[in-house]
Amino acid sequence: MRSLPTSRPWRIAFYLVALAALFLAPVYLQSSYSVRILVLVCLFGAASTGWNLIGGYANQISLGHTVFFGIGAYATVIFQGTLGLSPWLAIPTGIVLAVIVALLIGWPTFQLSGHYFALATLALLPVFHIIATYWEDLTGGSVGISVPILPSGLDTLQFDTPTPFFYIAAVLLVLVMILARWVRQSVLGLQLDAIRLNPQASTLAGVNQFRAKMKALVMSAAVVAVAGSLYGAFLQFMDPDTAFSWNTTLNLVLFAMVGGVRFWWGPALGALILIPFGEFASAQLTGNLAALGQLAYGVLLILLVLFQPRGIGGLFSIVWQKATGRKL
Amino acid sequence: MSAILRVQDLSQRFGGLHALKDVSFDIIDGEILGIIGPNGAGKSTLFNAIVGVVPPISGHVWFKDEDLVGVPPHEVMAKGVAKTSQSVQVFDEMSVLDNVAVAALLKNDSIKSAREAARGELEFWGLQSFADVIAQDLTLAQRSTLELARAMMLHPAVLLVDEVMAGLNEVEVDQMLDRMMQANRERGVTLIVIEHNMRALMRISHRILALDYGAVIALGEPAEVSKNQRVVDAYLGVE
Repeated sequence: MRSLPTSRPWRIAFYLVALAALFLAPVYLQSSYSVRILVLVCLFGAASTGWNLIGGYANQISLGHTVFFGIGAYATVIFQGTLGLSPWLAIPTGIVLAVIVALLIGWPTFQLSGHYFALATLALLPVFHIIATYWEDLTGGSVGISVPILPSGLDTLQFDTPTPFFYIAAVLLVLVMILARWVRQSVLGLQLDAIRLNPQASTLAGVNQFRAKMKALVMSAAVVAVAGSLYGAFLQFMDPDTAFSWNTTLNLVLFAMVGGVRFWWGPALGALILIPFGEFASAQLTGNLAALGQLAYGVLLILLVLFQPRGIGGLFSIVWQKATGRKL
Repeated sequence: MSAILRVQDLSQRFGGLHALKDVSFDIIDGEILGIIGPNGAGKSTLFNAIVGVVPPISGHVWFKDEDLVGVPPHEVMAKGVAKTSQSVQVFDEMSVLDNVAVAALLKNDSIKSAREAARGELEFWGLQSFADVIAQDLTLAQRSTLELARAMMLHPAVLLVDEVMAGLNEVEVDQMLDRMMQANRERGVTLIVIEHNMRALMRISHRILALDYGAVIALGEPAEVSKNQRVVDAYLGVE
């Protein structure tokens, strides 16, 4: 059994190959359209990985993480577009604001058991959509804010091709995945796993559920805010519908579920599969066929949830266990 | 002969049901106290009130000069009063080792040392060879034992054991009794044990407390309590 690819050298080799495949993608993909899609994979993959810290690891389903994403995104376009400040300053600002919102939502709801957190997060999105629409002085209202064309470079996060931005997004994804892996294998990760599997038993095991959930939520909100900030820089534009969209909420949850919430690499895998799939479907299927693509997508998701609720990661772990005799 | 836990006038109400009526008793440091009573007598309710899983409406639970009423349950566990649940509550999709390691985190701040401590605890309960097994693949007896191991991993001064022997065969019951008595003897844990298996309870208990309709109807030596007319009536339904 020891020589099978479960050992450390094999794992490191696998990570290196995956990293190389990621960072060489612009070389072998060539078309800038594909690279743009990969930027989205990295940004939404990172955001979904962030969502998973609380939503997946602890099974505290948040339907409001788009708010953290939108806060980060608005921070960037307001800093760059309105104030003429560096987008790099917008990132920590977005983190701080997102963490404040996270504390305000987690503080009351995590002291209760049941679905209060999910319900409270559900209400967040419309609230922030309304704020973004009517606080025109800050957000430009429903018209939104556009970032003017600036000299290209790392300081402005504007580039002539999508490739440099891809590398920034890829670095974010890798860092977030390292964080997610570290959390998974940490004391907090074991506590979150206990909470996910059996809240009553975790109390009897002496786990302070409130503190564990708060820690995970704060980290989660911060990660999603950073991804949002880069998304704002990438689009160079933000309006309420883009920043605070149900679609983003749905995607963050879906990527994690399709990839597998138990795994630190699950959400990124989900984004890597679903985003190109969606783009391909909407590019190939036009007119009435476009609806067909959406339908196929929906049917696929229903089948997955029915037959493999642990996602592709779960499927993979079953195969892995059969092949190696070890749990993943 | 000092009391380690002093339950004082504990009352619980669920709507119109007066589930506990001014329950008072002392538990002596190092003893094994058995709790008996017909179904619905309030035994599990009493446990849940003591550790704060379902806080009582009134009364006190004195532990080392501190009232546990109002303390959140995970803090009660940390202070030294642990509990197992009536229906086995383990982390099904977690390894046996990690099931216990979760509790070891209370006194260990790294995963590694928590797992090491958990290994030692599993050994005490005879589960060491199942460390890497996923908990849901265990037999009922093993799962019940695992829950005891997890609770003991908290190094409690007092452990409340709620019907851990339900569904076990005679051999398994005897093994579990031996281990519980060993924990009591060698590790000094005070045990309060709810059990329907009277043979088992008579064997391990130093004293027995009988509950009926949420009130204490008898408390004393096992032989004495089993002959008590009110206890016999409660069980046979006379009146």
